Parts: sequence; C-alpha cells; structure tokens
Amino acid sequence: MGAAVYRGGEGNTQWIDLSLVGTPPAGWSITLEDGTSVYDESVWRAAGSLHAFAVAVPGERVPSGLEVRWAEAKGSAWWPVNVLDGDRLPPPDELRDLPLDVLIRVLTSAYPLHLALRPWINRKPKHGGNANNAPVVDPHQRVDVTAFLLQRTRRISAALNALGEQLARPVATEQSLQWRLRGPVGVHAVVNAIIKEAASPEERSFLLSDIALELSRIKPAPAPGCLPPADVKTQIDQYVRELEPRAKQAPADAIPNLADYVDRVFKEVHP
Amino acid sequence: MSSWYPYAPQLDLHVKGRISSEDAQRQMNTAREILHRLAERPGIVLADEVGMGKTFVALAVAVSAALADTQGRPVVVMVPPALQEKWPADFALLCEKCLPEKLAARMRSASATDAEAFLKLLDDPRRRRSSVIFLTHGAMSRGLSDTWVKLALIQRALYRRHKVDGLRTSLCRVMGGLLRAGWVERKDPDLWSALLHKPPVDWLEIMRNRGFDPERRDDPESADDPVPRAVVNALAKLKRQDTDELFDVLDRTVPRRKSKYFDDHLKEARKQITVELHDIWGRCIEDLRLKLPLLILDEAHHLKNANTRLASLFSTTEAQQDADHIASGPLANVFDRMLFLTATPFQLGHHELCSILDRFDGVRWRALSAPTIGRQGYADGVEALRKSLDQAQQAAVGLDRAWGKLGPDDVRLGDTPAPDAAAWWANRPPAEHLTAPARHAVESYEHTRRRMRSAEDKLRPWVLRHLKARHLPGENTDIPRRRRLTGRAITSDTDGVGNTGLGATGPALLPFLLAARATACTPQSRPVFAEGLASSFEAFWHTRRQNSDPHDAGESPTDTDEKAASIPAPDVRAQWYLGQLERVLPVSQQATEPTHPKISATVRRAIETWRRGEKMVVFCHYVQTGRVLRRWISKGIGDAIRNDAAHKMGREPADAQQQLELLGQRFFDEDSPIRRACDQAIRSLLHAYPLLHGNEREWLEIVRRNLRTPAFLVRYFPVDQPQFDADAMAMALDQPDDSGLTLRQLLNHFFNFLQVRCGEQERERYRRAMRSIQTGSHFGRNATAAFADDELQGDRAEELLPNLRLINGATRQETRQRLMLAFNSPFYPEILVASSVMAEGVDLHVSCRQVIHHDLSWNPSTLEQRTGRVDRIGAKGERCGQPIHVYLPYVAETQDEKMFRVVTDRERWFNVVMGEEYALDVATTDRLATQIPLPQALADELAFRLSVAARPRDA
Repeated sequence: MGAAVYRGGEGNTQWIDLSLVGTPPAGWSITLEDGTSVYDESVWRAAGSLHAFAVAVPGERVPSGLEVRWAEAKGSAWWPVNVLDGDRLPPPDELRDLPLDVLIRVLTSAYPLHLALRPWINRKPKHGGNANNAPVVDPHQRVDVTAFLLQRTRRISAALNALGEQLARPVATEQSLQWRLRGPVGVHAVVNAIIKEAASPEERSFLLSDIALELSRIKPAPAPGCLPPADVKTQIDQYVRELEPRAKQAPADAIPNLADYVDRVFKEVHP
Repeated sequence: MSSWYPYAPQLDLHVKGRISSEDAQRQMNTAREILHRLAERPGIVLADEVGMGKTFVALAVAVSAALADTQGRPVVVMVPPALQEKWPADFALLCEKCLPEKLAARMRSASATDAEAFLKLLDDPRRRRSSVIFLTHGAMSRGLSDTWVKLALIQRALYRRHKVDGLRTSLCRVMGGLLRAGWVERKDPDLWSALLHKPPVDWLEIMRNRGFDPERRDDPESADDPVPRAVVNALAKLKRQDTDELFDVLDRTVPRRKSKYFDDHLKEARKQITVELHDIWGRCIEDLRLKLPLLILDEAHHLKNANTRLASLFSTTEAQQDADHIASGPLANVFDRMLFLTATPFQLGHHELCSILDRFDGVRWRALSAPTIGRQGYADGVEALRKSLDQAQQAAVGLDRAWGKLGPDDVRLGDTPAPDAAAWWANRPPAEHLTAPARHAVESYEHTRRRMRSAEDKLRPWVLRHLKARHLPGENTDIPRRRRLTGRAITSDTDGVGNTGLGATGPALLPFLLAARATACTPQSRPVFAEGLASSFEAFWHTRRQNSDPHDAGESPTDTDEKAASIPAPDVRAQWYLGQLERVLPVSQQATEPTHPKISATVRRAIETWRRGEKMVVFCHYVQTGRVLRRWISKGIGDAIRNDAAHKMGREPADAQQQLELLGQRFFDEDSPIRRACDQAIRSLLHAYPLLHGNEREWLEIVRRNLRTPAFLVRYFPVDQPQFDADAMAMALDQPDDSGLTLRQLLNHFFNFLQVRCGEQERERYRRAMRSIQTGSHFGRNATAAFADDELQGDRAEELLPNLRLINGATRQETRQRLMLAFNSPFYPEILVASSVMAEGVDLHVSCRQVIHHDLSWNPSTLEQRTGRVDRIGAKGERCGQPIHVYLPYVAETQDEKMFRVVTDRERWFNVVMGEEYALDVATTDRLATQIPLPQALADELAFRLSVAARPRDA
C-alpha cells in the first residue's frame, strides 16, 4: 500500500506521513487499534487525492501501526508505522516530566536507565502518610524544608553537577549526544525540571542563566571512536544560546540587579 | 509535714505601691512552700515566669534560713556576673522595706567573685559574718589570685623536704616578683621569710605584730586570716607527692643569683609556678569540707548541660562513677539544700530539666538533717520523671496528628453539624457513634491525658511555677498581656497574616539566590551563613569573610558564647557566586534605604514606634546586624525629625532642622519662657515625690536636657506655633504616645517608680545613670560626645543619633548598666539595639512595651528571656492597658523560617510542661486554619499545674 513514517508529535497530537503506491481500493479507511478513526477515502478525495500526506493521530502515544479496511475486504490489514529518527519519539509515559530528584538519581546512578528508574516507577502511592509509625518528636524533623530556598538550590546544584559530569563523558554518536541533550533524562528535561522548582519568574531567570553558566563550563572529554570534543561543545553551546532569550524574558527586567546579573552571565558564557 | 526551716514571720513582702497584695501573698506562699518541700527534698526549682519576682521569693527563703540557722551559717546565692550588683541591691531593698528595722540591722550581705574571697567571708567571726553571700558564677572555677594563698601553697611544697634552706632563701629574695607582690617587699622585705617559717594559722599574728595589714587597708587589727581556714585544712591533707611537681619547678626555675638574665629567669619561673599553683589549687579546693545550709542558684538553666563548668561544681565523686562526663566539684557535699531559679528550666527538650534536677545529687546526704526522701528515692523520682515526660510528649504528638485529621464532617451532633468545636467536645456522642477520625481523636486525647497527669504528678514535687495572667490586670482583664506578631506581621502591625514570612523580593532576591548557590557549592557546610544572610547582608558578608580568612583575628560574627561554626573554603564555582555577591550586595553606606527584607521591616517598625512616642528593644544575634540596624534606624529617625519638622513648620528640611536646634537652645536660657515653664511644670510634678526633692535641681536638668532635643521637640511640642512658652510646655506634657499615656503620666509613673519601688541605693543609681546620658547634638556637631568610647565600635558618631544605643559584648558592663537604667525613664535612650548580653536579668520594662526579636533563636527560652525584659510586674503595658508587642520577623523559605518553626514547636512543648495552656503544634495549627480548633476545655484538662495553689488532679 505504501509507507507509514512517524514524523513527530506536538502536545496531544502525533503526526504520521503516509505515502501511497498506486490507487487505493474503494471505500478504504484507517483506524487505530482501538477503532478511533484516523482517515478515510472521502477525506482523502476532498483533500485532492494526494499520494503523500500526513495524518494526525490523537494522543501522546505513538501507534505502532494502523488498521486499514476497505469495502470488499472482510477483515483488516495491519500497516506498521516506521520510525526513521528515534530522537523524534516522545518519551514513554514513565519518563515524561520526571521530577528533579528522580532525574538527579538517574544522572548520578551507575546503573542503566531502566534499573535506575525502577524505584521511581515502582513507587507506591501514599495513603495517609506514616500514620502507623512512631510519632516524630524532633522539631527539626517535623519541619518540611523541601521547598525552602537553600534546599531547592541544593537540589539544583546536584542536578547541574550530575548533568555536567554526564555531558563531559565521551559520546559515540550524534544520536547519543542528542539523547543526552534532549532525551527524557537529558539536559532539556533537567532544565524543565529545574524551572519548575523556581518560586517566581525572577528566580526562573536566575536559574536559566545559572544553567547556561554551568553548561558553558563543561569540557567534553576526548576518546577514540567518539565524537570530537569540539563538536560536542558546539552542540552544547547551541543549546546554551537557546536558553538566553528565555532567561531574559520580561520579569527579570523588573529587578535591575537581576537583569544586570543575567547579562553578565551571558557575557561570561559567550564573551 | 514540718518545714525544713520556718518562714520568718516578720518578713512581709507586701510593699504598697511596689507590688500588689496578691502578688506579695503569692510570693510569700511560694517561699513557705519551698521551705516546706525542702524538708523532704534536696532541692526545688523555682521556675516562675520571667518578671514575677523570683528574686524576692528566693531572698525570703534565704532570710528565713539565715535567721533560723542555729550555727549562723550564711546562705550562698550564686549569681551571674551581670547581676552581681542587682542582687545585693534587691537584698538591701528587702531588708529596708520588708523587715522590721531591728531585724534588718542583723542582716548582712557580702559579695565574692573568687574562691579565696568567698572562703575568707566564711572565716568571719559570727558577730560580723554575712547572712547572705553573693557568689558570682564561675568564682569557684576562677584561677588562684590571692598572694597569701599562693604563698601557703609554696610553703606546703617545701614542707618536709631536705636541704631547702638555700631554695627558701632564694625564694624570699624573689617572692615579690614571683607573686607580683612588690608592695609587700617595699613595706617589709623580711616578711616572706618570717611567714615561710611559720604555719599559715600564725601569719595574721605575725603580720599584726609587724604592723602589716594583709588586706592593704592599713588596719591590721580588723584584718582576717590571710589564708582561709578551709584552705589551711585542705593544705594539711595534701600529700608530699601532690606538691612534687611544684617543688621541682621551684627548684629548677627560681633564680639563685643576680645575672643579666635574671629577669628572664624570673619571668619563666613565675609562668611555670603559676601553672603548678593552679593545678594544686584545683585539688585543694575540691577538698574544702564546707558545711553550709542553702545554695540559691540564679539562672539555673545554665546547668542544663552537665558538661558546663558551672554544672561540674555540683557533681559528686559517686556521680562521676556513674557518668564519666561529670567531674567532681568543690561544691559537692557542701550544702544541705539547693534552690534553683530559672524561668526556663528547659529549652531544647525536657531532658534538660531532668539534668538540672540531677544537680541536686550534690547536697549533703550524710548530714543529720538530710532530705527525708533519701538519695535512692530522689534518684528514682528523677528517673521516673524522665520516662514519664518522654511518654507524655509522644502522646501529645499523637494527639496533634489525630486532631489534625478531623474535618467538619467528623464534628457532628447527631445528624447536624456541631455549632463549634467546643460544643461538639462538650456533647460528643459515645464512641460507637463517632466517625473513625473523631474516635481516634478522642482516644488520643484520653491517652494523652493519662500520660500528662502521670508526668505532672512526678514533676510537681520538684518544680514550682507561676504564670503571669495572660490578660492585663485591673480594669483591662479582657486585653491580652502580649500580642505576638510573627513573620511579616511586623510590616503591617496586624495579626491577620498568619504564619507567613517576609519575602526576599525585588533587589533583595538576587543576593539570596547567589548566597544559596554559593552555599550549595559546598554541600558539606552547615547552612549557618544562610542564617547570617537572613539577619542582614552585612552579617552574612562578615561571617563569610571571617571564615574565609583563618588569620583574621577580628571580632566574632555573633555576640554569644555559642561556638562559631566553621565554613569550608569555597571552591572555584562558589568563588564566582561570592564574587557576584560582593558586587550586588547593597552596602548600607551607599544605599538610600535598606533592601534586606528583615532589616527593612525592623527599621521601619522601629522608626514608626519612635514616631508614635514609644520605646523599643531590638534583639539581634549578629554584631554586624546590630550595627547596621543602628545606622539605618538613626538615619530613619533623623530623616523623620527633619521631614516632620519641615511639614509642621512649612519650611525646607534643612531649615526646619536648624530651627529645632534654635528652639532647643532656649531651654538653656534661664530667662526664656520655655525654660521657666519647663522648670515650673517639672517642679510641680516632683512635688508629690518627697524622696526626690533632695536632688530636685538635677532632675530638672535631666528633664530639660531631654525635652530640648529635636527628637522630643518635633514629637511633643507645637513647633509651628510662634509662642514657645508655658502653653507649649503644657501641650507637650499632655501629648499622648501610642499607648495613650501622656508625657505627664509617663513622668509621673517614672518618679513614682523611683519613690516607691526603688530603694535608696537604686534611686541613686538611676539618678547617676540619667545624669551621665548625654543627649548630644543630633546632626553632626559634637555628636561623639554623646557616646562612650565603647559604644561607637567603628561607626561614625555623625551617622548616629544619641537616642538609639547599641549594647553588645563590646560594651562595658558599666555602660550597659547606665543605658539600661536610663532606658527605664521616659527619656534617652529611646531605642536599644541589644545582643544576648541584655537578654537576661535586666529590667527594661518601666517605659517600654515593644520588643523585636530581629534574630530568632533555636532556643525558645532565649526568646522568652528577651521578652521577659519588658514583660514584668509593673511593666508599662500594665499601666497603659495595652498589650506588650512581641515581633518575631523571619524571612520566608530560608533557614530563618526553619528556625521560627523549630523554636515555636519547642516552645509549645515547653509551655505544655510548664503549665501554659495546651496548644497544638505549629504544623497542625496551620492546617487547622480551615479545620477544627482545639476546644478550650480539652486544652485546660491537658495543661500542667505547677503553682503553689494548684492541687493534684485525678489521672
């Protein structure tokens, strides 16, 4: 029939490029495994009967294939969806929007990703806290300081340290580098998690400039058979440039000393 | 059961005008109860709240014991150095006002600041022996300084040793230099030899025969034995080997002949001999075998740590076997009974209270009049108390948790919601009709009540505690005594902002973010310098610098005896943030207003309080914070004086300032209308106080000097009126402050305080202090004249106003006392920025009802002790019928907030155990904003009752 290739996703929609070989049978339609209609002959004809077009698949999940039916057929045909560029795949649900402490654990773990994540994935929802435990009488333990500035900052520092170490390690392929930069446990994910920690837009500006500073200090290590450090550095620098406009968004301007600081950081980063 | 000693029937603590008859009766009942309980027990802790007159209760016990002791032995009162003048003054006041004249004449007191002086006082013949000896804390641990005791030790080192004639001769030649007693040699060069050949018991006679006064008063006949009897006895028990090392040092180091190195040798000999003497003195003093009736120990919470020097004084050899961290002490087995005074017998946890009770083990258990409870009974009682308090605390936490889970659906009466928690609690259905959370809460309450009662039963025999009424006395019983304003309530002066902290926002945000990053770069560091940051940018920066430069021997960043935490050296990344921080920290000299959130809030509150005519105490922990607060508040008040005057006069600020100074000068012109009106008005006020008439001229001058200052003129006088005369004076006197009291009332109260509540000595101290306070020039000229040389501490006088004073560890004791006394007047100083040195034992309550705890503490008793300075019997708040304002600002989401929450949690448990109303913990209280408050009846039932009047309740 042709080829179905995953293009990428935006929010709650995934796009699949379809290319047809020859003329499709009359009365054809395409559905997902659960029966959700994706496309059919009438829509195709109304769009100009093109042989290459894109269909939108609702949801965050990439379908592994499509069900194709047509008028004379008694059953359906399975049209597998191919992925040509793995980087375009959305992260699996388990890796989506990981909190910062989990990302730190993953980044600093010596175990492979699936093992490092196991405790997080297997976590049990809390029911009524530690109702059956002995009462805590130590006043220090009875104060929840996890959202306090210093504790937040310590978490962020730990994440940035872990990120720096990971990015400095030799990387074999361009794909691996992209995984480290934009994968579900890469720089981009850590940046998003850090930004969520910010208590205000001003603090977010500070944190973004801080991330830029840390990334700019990374010195990729050379290794035989791996990407040259200069190439890795270029990619990191590219990512840092993407941070600059975000760090300089309006709120920081409201506080002159913060705006000046952000400027100084990016001058330090890109002299 | 009979009393240990009877309460002296002639002793009446009620002095009209000084104290209410109810308070006096309570104090006398407490003294009787203490004497009664001491028959059975080795000691009692009197833990009345701050400002309830523990001193007078203790002195009543002391006087009763001293009068009844058949051997005429003195009672010893151990007092902190800061109170070594106050206690004797209070004793004099008690004798003057509370005892019949004849009996008062029999009572004598004396003070001692070291062991030798103390022992000499004990040697006094009965006819002139002191009834009460005030012994300064640390006196018994202080090194040996007395020349004659040193000589006696040296003599003992030579005792029964062969061939020491040569050494003895050499010693006599250099003794003056060795003992730093050149005056002896100059007066009688042969005295050393004469003394060394005779036992110390004969020394006084030898000296008298030679016309020599060992006390340097040129009156040999009245002198005491130069070596106290207890020391002579202890020396006799020293074995030869005890003095071997001293002898060896003497033999090796004492120069035998003059040479060009003679002075160096002598210096070295003195150094080594001092070390040895100190060692032997320590052994000697532990074997004094004194027998005294009663020890009263003030500020006994310092005993909470058994490892402190003070605590070790009371431990016994037996205790050492049980607890190797406790050393034997010279005051163990000396006293028949002990009375400990502290408003805060524990701070971090109730185990500290038990540690204080452990000190009672040091009484004379083998005496005939030993406590009837027996040593084992005592030890078992304290141990049982320890366990019982642990269990009660656990139960209380369980109740907090259970109560915090109650929701509106659980608080029902039948099918309808209860109108309020109190109604539900009073009419709650049987357990089988309660929801699961409600049943759990009720069960937790029952469990907690049993535990509380059990702990209370075990605590009551040891601790007596009375609480001040939580509402003002007299006609104001519906007004709370204290108003507590936490977190950002300091900015609005309203209670309705909940437990929310001050935010680090605007320009203050970046320094906090940078500091946090710098701290996070050294994860092993304690967040101590984040605490400094919450205090002030300057405190943070100073702490940082002190720690980054180990060679910097400058002042300590904090003004307490706490050990400063060390901060690791910053790494390269941390250096970046610190560099940026240095760049962005607003330096106060350059900034136009404070940007630090807490400094800004405290400064604004202080200025506003001043504008409203009230006094304020600001407590802070960091030296730099104290200074920066002084600078900013000075600047703020200076600006306010200029701007308010400009507004009233319709002139430019600089012009208005000049005009104020000109108006002020008229008070010095004897012919000016305002001068005459002022003198006449004050004379008229003084008329009602005959005890002040003798110094009328001085009081007039004091009032005049204060009223003529721009700070008073702008707030109290109609500076916009063309006439500056009797009408202006009358208007000033009738001007009320924020408490509603007019200047006339404030002056009357103060004069009345001097007349009625102060004894003659105290009155004299006040007069001298107020005379010495310079009101100075406010704007530049002669500004330095206002400050003592220990007050400026590196700041420029031109930037400071004399109505605002800083008191910290660098301020001399004499200056502190002067400022403290003057602060109780309606005049200068008006704002005190004080460190922990003013947090205990001083009275600041006569004219002040506002306190800011700018720096919090992990320790609730620190806060309570500080607040207690302004919350005392007869405080301004009582007189004006307005609450005492207690501000507890903290910076949100920083170590400061954690400190607030921890200290509040500790305070809550302290309050529960110490008889305050039972309250839920902070976390539960926060949640309860939308849930179920704790019913009053339940809280009452769980509270401990430790007062004399309270009776045990059924468990």
